[in-house]
Amino acid sequence: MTLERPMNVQEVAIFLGLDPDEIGLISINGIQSELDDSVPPGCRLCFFPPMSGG
Amino acid sequence: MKLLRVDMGRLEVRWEPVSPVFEQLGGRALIAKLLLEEIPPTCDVLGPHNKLIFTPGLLAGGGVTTAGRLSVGGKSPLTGGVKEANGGGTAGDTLAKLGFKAIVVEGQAQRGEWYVLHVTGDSASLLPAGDLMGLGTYATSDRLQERYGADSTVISIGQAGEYLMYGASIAITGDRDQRSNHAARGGLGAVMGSKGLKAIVIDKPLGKSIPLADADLFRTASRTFAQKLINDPKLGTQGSQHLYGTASIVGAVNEIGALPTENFSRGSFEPATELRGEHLRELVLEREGKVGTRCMPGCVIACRNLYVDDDGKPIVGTLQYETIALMGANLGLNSLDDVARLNYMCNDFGLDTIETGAALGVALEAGLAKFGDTESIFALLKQVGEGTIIGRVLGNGVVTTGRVLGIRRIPAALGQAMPGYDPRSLKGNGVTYATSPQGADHTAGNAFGARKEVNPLGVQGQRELSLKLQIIAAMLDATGLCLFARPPVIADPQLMVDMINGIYGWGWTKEDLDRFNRQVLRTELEFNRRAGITAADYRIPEYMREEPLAPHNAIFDVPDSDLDSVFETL
Repeated sequence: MTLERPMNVQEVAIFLGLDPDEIGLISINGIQSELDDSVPPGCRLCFFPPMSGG
Repeated sequence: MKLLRVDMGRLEVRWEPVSPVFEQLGGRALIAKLLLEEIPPTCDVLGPHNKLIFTPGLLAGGGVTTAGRLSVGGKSPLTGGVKEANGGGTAGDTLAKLGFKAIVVEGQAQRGEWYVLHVTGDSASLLPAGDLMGLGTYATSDRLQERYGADSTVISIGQAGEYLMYGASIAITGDRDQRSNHAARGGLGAVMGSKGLKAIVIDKPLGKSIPLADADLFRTASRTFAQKLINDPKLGTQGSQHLYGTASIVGAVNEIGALPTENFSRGSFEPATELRGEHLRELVLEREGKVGTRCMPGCVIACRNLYVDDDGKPIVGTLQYETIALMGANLGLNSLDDVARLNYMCNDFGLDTIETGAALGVALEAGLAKFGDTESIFALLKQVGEGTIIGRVLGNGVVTTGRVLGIRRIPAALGQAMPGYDPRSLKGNGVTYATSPQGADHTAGNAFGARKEVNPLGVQGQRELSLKLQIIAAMLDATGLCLFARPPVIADPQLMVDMINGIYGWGWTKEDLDRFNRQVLRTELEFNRRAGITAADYRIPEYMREEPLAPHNAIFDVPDSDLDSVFETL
């Protein structure tokens, strides 16, 4: 997707219609990230639901 | 409560009142104390002085959701130290309802003689098991349930335990479809085999319940606990754990580069999409299998599945993350059907899928077959059940396999295979593997998903995170609770205190509970110290400190000084 302006993860989530409170893990290019991290150009951004290892 | 001692040398059983030393202990806590008090720490793991303990947790039998896990313990063949492995099924609740603190199996039968222990509420007897020898755990439990009733609980070993393989597990039956639950880790199936004990059968405790010291307190706390689990976004009916099972994390672990791939040589597996929990759910529902099933009656999380083949025929009574990681990506296999069939074989032989998956990964690196070559991998695993030389090597776990085949890249700590999180990309788990008295065991303190706390790739804070998780894990394992029951008890430890006080009337405070949890670890560390285990034995293997792991080119670089000081504040 193309962003019209620089955004952080939370803004992208809202843009996609995701509730930030319902997001568990976030990764940017495979690095675990947080909602206030900025989203760099050309990156792979992944949202995962809340989860725990087992 | 009572304790049942089973002397396999004299073929005698005897009942004992519970000693005050053990009275306020259960599950993992009882195992640690009993081993420290009663066995020589340097004893031969497969000799007469080791003991095998079956014990429910402190909360078992009262209907607390997820609290019916059975703890099995002894000195571990793999680690040479204390071991507690737990499994679901009906054994934990059943023993608690019958008033058992524990069954302690001691001594050993004459070589070549095998027995079944049959336990009812007030009697126990050892019976010859000749007709069961050579059978896998499925056939063993089927035959014993035909004999003693379909509602009885069967605890058994398969061929791997009979062969005294260090990767052997102990199977526990459950309700209906959930035929196979395993206390899998540490090689305790070999200890059971060394005793000459093929199986334990426990009659259903009809009309029995545990006494409650304060029924109102207990019921209020246990209902609140269940409701909090149901409301948890991870665990409730719309949570990923319930919908997709433990396999829900395949995608995320792969994305952060921690999914063991082709003998821990990479941290991500290109076709991992085929192994994800979402795909598993689609397949199972399409084939009219089941999702959202339970390993213990009354569990509100219900994270299991009944995995079926194309014709709707059951393959395995649940396909879980660790098995998918170790027998899927780690072997270069991208088919859930293949992983499920390997899982079935391990369950039947009575093998830990983590230990065996890791051993197979090393065997593939040694060239015994190619990664992704399904038929060759099946042929290798089949040899474990047949007891061939190669099968015995694999069945004895990843360290033995690496040594025999001349492979230096052995993913193990304290002699036990690493589970499905490469410690180079999830360093909190690396700290747990490298310090837990249980060896490389994710259930001893799993840092995956610890968002906003510690960067999984960083060094900072891992020591403190691991200690915190290890203390919580000790509590869960001592009370019979499932690992997934963590969130409500972390958020509100008073709930746990109220449930314990509601059953026993001990008047514990949160501080007492915290002391209890920490004491479990202290006791275990002391046992291991007396067994001769040193800091060097716990370390992450050298190659993981030097060989960068793609895609992040991460190494395990938590300094030894951090590892050595994890328990300083215990």
